[in-house]
Amino acid sequence: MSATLLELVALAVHFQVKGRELRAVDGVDLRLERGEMLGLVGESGCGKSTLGKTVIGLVRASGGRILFDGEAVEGLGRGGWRKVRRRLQYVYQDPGASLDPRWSVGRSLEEPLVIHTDLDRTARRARVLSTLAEVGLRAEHAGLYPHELSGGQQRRVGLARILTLQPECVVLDEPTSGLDVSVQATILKLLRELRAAHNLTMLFISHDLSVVRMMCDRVAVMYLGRIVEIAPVRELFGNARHPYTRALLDAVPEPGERRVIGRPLLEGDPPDPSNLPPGCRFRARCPVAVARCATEDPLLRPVGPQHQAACHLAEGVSA
Amino acid sequence: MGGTSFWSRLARDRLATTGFAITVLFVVIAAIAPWIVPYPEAAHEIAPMNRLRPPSEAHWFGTDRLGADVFSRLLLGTRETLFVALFGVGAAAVIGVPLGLIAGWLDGWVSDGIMRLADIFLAIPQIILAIAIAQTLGPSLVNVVLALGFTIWPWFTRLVFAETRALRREPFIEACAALGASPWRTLALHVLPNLASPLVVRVTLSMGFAVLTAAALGFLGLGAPAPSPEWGRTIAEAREYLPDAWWYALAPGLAIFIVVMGFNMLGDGLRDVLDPKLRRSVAASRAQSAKVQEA
Amino acid sequence: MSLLEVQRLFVRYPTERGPAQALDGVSLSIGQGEVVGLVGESGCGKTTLAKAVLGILGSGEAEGVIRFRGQDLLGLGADAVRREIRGRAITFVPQDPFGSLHPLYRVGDQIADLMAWKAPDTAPPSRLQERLALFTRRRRPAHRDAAIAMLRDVQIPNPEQALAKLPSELSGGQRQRLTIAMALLPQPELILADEPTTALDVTIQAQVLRLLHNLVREKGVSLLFTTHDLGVASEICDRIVVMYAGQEAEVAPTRSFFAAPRHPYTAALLQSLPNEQGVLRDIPGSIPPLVNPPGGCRFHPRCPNASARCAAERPPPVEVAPGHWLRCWHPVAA
Repeated sequence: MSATLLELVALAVHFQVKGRELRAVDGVDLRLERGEMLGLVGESGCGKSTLGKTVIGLVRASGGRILFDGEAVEGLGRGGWRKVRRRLQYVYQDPGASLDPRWSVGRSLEEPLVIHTDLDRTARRARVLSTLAEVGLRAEHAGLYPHELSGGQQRRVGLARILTLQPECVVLDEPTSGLDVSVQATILKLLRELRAAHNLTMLFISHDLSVVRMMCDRVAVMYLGRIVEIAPVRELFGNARHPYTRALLDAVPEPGERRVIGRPLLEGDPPDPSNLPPGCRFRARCPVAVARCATEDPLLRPVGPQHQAACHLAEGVSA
Repeated sequence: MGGTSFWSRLARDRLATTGFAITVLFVVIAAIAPWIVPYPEAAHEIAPMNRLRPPSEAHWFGTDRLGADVFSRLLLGTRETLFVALFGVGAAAVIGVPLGLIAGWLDGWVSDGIMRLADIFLAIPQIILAIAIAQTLGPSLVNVVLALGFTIWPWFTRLVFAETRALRREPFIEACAALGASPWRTLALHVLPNLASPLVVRVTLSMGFAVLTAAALGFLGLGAPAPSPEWGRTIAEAREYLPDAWWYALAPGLAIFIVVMGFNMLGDGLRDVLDPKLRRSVAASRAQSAKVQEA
Repeated sequence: MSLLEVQRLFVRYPTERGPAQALDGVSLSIGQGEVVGLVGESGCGKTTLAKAVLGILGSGEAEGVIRFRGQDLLGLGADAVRREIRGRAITFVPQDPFGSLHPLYRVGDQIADLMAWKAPDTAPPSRLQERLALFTRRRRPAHRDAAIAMLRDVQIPNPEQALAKLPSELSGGQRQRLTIAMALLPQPELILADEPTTALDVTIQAQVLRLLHNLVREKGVSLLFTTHDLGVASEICDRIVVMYAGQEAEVAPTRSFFAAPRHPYTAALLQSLPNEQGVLRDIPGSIPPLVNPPGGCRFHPRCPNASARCAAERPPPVEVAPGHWLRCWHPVAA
């Protein structure tokens, strides 16, 4: 049993948009160690959600490889994929929308067991009830329909649905977006408990840096289809080397402070991802860009222990 | 999603209620016609001395060229008309729904092929297509059913295709793939049940069209052979005696008119009641209130 | 004197299960040039309050006093508010700019329309003009320079080209800048912004916040800013009003709001935020229903300090420090 559970090698996902090629994911290398929670952050359109969907096979990769527990998933037939799917699960951003409106919660929760196991009806019911209890819902909730649940309860059902199969690795797509802070705290707490109880390996996709900071062991920052920086959470938040990461961290408002509106900001919008400039793709907005950035595309390289950044000037950026 | 809310909303819609009442009335008539007709022998017996009598207390809609009671034949004809319409639309759904599901789920040439075929069928005027098919197969009730099925199926395919394409993008359908459900399982258990409402509306509206087309085929002698009391055929017979024996053609004409109206009103009403957009907003508002009152 | 004075405002919405009491006697004031943040979780009534001020409650019934420049808006009547106040003296920045921009008209035409109707030197249109406007489209090329200046004010790049674009051709941040520009155009005295940065990415949110902050200061406009994000509120607001289930719980200057929250709900809310220590504290229980809500202080079923009195009687506002008002029988120690 190797330490690495999930590995992405030069993963690429390209879409054709109006005749132009949009590189949603453009050569991503990433390793998820067993039991780790890796945060994947970035702004809308950076490709983080596409990456998550590619990992679980909802989006077809255009290039590169995905290795799950040392085995390449592209070569797997339908049967092989099913085995991987059982161990590798995905939680939708809006679990309310990811539940069939005509199915009761109980039936939706039973479905993965019907597909993947040969448990009989009683055993399935028992598993559903124990999972419901685990995510803090009562047995009565099994009889309700998705629209009868609150936002927080829908998230719980979303988590319960993947837990029934007892997976090893979970991809979470924006698990708390749209929730009130007090509910968010409850769900995050639950995630921590579940992770500890099941020794889950998690890819935590989020745009909320403060949540990622609290939950994850390592953080990868994505910009326009590439990972621009990856480091352990303390290192990234305390010693970011990529100018984009720094700008991102500087833009997060802190309650009780007035830290954002007074300082120099990242100007402009990200460039059109289907029409990228040569060189570094962050160059146009970068406050420290030099001539070299316009010609040479920086690659992810080590800049410290367990710390990689894709910037020619990473050493200089250090605070 | 409870049945009570559906019925109460249907009851509030006057159009739908009227259509529903008409439909139920004719279904009941079709079911019990042989036992309630004033002259049960009218379907096959001849009474030449009684022929072409105007409406009277004994014969509400007069008598026909053979002296049979027009009202009795009208009631007996209801059964044939509804049978043909129901099975015709059923055949269309059996052909059209699976094709629409496949075309909506898949991309590429299979999907394109099915939809172009549907377009070709739709490009030919429906009534002419039905006549051509019925003519080819020969006059009989079963062949009318087949003709209707082959004429109406593209409507089902188009509807199911469009709805499936829309559903395919819904997260809960995508989530099935994420869980590892096979496409067949997803289509049968998730896509099809979510198509139920628009399908019910389409079936109801198609019934009106099927009654009309069946009558036209009967009128042209392509339906069940004489002495069938089928309404279209009756009008064809009555044509020779117009305008003197006006009741002879008027009775089946009115019946067709009312039945078709009934189905169309019910269909339109159901569309309002079952409208997925409407229902979704109801669900959303319920979700909102559930959120607010979270127990 | 304050520009906007809301006193004991009640709003009820009819629902299938009975009236939802969306606002329960809320009082609030906004001074000239002041930025007030209205924060709280979903269902707390912050959006309802903004709608009540704008006179767009729909099926909701408002009772109480909303005084703007000394004039009672509820007494003025919906039609007069629509013609003379809304879109002129009080303007609105929505959460979703797509919803307030016409998807099929070019940016320039939309600005020209707005200038023709709502520019500060135009009189409110007569009813006849309003009806005729349905059939005519006005374009005033003379306003082109003004429109460009306006877009430049909110830092939209290449304003000349932006005028010829459709809203869908702008980025999310640019669209929100455009709605801010349009809200500023009539030279209002009060802008209501409903979660204007919630749909934006953080770096864009930072740009928009700074822009809004600078423009409001520069033009001396008052701003009522609703948000669920306490971080955003702390960036831009002078004062913060916390609402819970249709009641205001605490009103305080931003600094003391975060430094010394006194209401148990405020304290719990601040503790539930993600923090550097990584400790997660949620608030037990959940938001109460607005149909038949708990009596007295609506937070009492979830409150650690609650007593029998809290259920019986809603606490009156008490000033615990200069400008720091509290509605609680058992406040948290300062």
